[in-house]
Amino acid sequence: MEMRKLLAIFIIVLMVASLVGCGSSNNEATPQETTETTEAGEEDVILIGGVNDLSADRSVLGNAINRGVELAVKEINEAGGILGKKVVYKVYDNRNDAQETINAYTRLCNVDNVSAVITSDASSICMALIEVSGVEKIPVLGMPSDPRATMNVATGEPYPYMFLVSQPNAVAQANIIAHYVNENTDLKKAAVFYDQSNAYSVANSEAFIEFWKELGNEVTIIETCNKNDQDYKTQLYKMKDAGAEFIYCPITTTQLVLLANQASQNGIGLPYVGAMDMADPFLSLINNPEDVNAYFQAVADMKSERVAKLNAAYREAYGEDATVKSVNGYDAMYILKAAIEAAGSADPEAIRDALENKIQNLKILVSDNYTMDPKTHAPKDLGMVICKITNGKLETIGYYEAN
Amino acid sequence: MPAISLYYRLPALHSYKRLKGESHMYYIQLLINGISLGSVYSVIAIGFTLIFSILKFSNFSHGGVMVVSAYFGYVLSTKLNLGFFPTLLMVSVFGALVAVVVQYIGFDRIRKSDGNVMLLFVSSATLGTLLQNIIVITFSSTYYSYPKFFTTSFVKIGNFTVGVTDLMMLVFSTICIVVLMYVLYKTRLGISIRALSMDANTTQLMGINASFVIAVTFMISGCLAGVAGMFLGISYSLYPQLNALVFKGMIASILGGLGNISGALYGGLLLGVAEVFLTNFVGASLMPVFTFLFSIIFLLVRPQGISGKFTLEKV
Repeated sequence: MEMRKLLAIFIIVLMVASLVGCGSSNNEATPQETTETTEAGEEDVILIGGVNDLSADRSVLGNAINRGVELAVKEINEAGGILGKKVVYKVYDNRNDAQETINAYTRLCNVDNVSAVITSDASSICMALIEVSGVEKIPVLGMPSDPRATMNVATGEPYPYMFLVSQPNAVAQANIIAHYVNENTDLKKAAVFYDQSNAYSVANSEAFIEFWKELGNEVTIIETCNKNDQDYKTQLYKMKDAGAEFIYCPITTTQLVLLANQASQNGIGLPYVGAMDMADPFLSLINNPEDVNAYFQAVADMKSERVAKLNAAYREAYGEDATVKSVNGYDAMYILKAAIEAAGSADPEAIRDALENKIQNLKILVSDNYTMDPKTHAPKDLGMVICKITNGKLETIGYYEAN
Repeated sequence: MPAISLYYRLPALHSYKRLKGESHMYYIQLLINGISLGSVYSVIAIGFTLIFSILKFSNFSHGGVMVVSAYFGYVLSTKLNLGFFPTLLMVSVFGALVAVVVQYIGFDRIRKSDGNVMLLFVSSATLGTLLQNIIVITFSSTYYSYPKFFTTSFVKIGNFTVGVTDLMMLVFSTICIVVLMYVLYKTRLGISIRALSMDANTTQLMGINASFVIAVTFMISGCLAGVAGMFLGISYSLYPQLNALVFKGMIASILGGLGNISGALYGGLLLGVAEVFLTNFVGASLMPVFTFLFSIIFLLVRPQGISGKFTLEKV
């Protein structure tokens, strides 16, 4: 009997420990203030809100964005703040859940009284905020790749308080890589492989197919996978068999690892195109990196001088290398700073107007002349950095803008 | 927004076009791929079936043992730089030990107190989740890859390409199954296991130590989980949700005839081949639907499974 009790206690303790380890907790999202609060009243600070996945399945990306914002806030405060006021950044963990996101955003608007909110790169999370942002009227800056997160496709009008910052949307990304590959390589016949359960993957692939055909090239076959699929060998053989010269594959890093490993294990040596997640640490995760050849686009060249300052600060603060998502977060905060300065106040409505109309030729990490398009609430003519992998060696080709 | 044309959205049309103009070589290649995938399903299914045949419950902790063993192999191969064979050996031993610990923690007391079999089932699901969460805590949710074990990635046999990993998977799965069959049918231990699976009470009255036999059965099952986990880790990549593949093992064991070892072997192979061909003909999006349809139709036609024998499940 004693033994049974001990075992029961042991199992309960292990289960509780495992639950604690898996996520922050099951209670309400916990706020984290990342800058020290001032003793002065609210008039002396500008409150910025954050909503990101800090503990669930996209937490690697969410934490990177959040840390980019934190570092930008720290820099801005050290340089005197915005309009002479200190910036206080308060972030909530949404655990990559749409309802948690809405709850956190509402709390930031009504309890914390923030002036603007910086959120996730997940399209589904940003899309969850479309309706509530129209009610609360606090601008939202995110990095969703799905154009529907900032634009009403039916009316062609942007959602007033939703903004895509720091990277092109999925359609623009497909346009950039389609034009680059068409102009700079001999590749003509594409096999498209996408994850049909991923909004970004679908939107990007659909756009690429249209652009690629418009450029006079051929799409020989389209194959799909689902989020939890493990075995891509059948699709790989079909793509090879269809006479494709390359595989266009805007899928996640996990899926890219599976694809590249299985292609290598089966002697299928087709190059890959358009897989943004082939940036670091992709090559370190596969068994045979020397079998990988690819062209892909990235928000920034993480080895360039341009991001060296962020890299150093990030390493010092968090003990690891910054990623492109940190660049997104960092730039988002500086775009917001420019908007607040242009607005001349921390009034959310004035910031919204400034974000829409006054973000022009801004020098940030992803561009020297970053401009917000008022018609789409997305960056105007923003290019991307083209990267190339040759037999497992990653190199940066340079910044490229498509027509 | 541009849209993918209807032609591309219907993979079956694609496949039909291909069927008319192509040689049978392509389909033989698919068959090879299906058998190699099915061999792993078979190993999972046999481990799953072994426990089912004796304790008569679906042991979902099998997936957890598989994942923990796969990560153990990753640590051995990357931190200690162990080669393929030593890693495989250590992983199978580790899988066996974990399975025995799981048996003592989760099932032994319930079984001895003649507890409801439902409790065994709940305990197995809980322990499976617990093992998965221990991995999440220790390694986070990110993914890892085994190092490159073999100098060549694939071999050419005539016009066919076979991945070295797939080939190894097939060879070792076959070895595991042959050894297991030998143990089950040619040794005293095997006779005890089979006797226990038929009638536990009578077997104990005959003087066989049921607790010992059950512990050994769990060891064998854990050993198979370790082998399957390591091959899955090499073929795909390592992440905590890898244990979801235990469901494939469960489907394979049902197709083969619940609780029947040789049936689980055939069920795994049938499932692997069916999945590969369905992916080819109907596409990855519809493959899961057709796989379940195929399973339902198969069981309607042959409810006793491939083997023709099955053990009644209590849960």
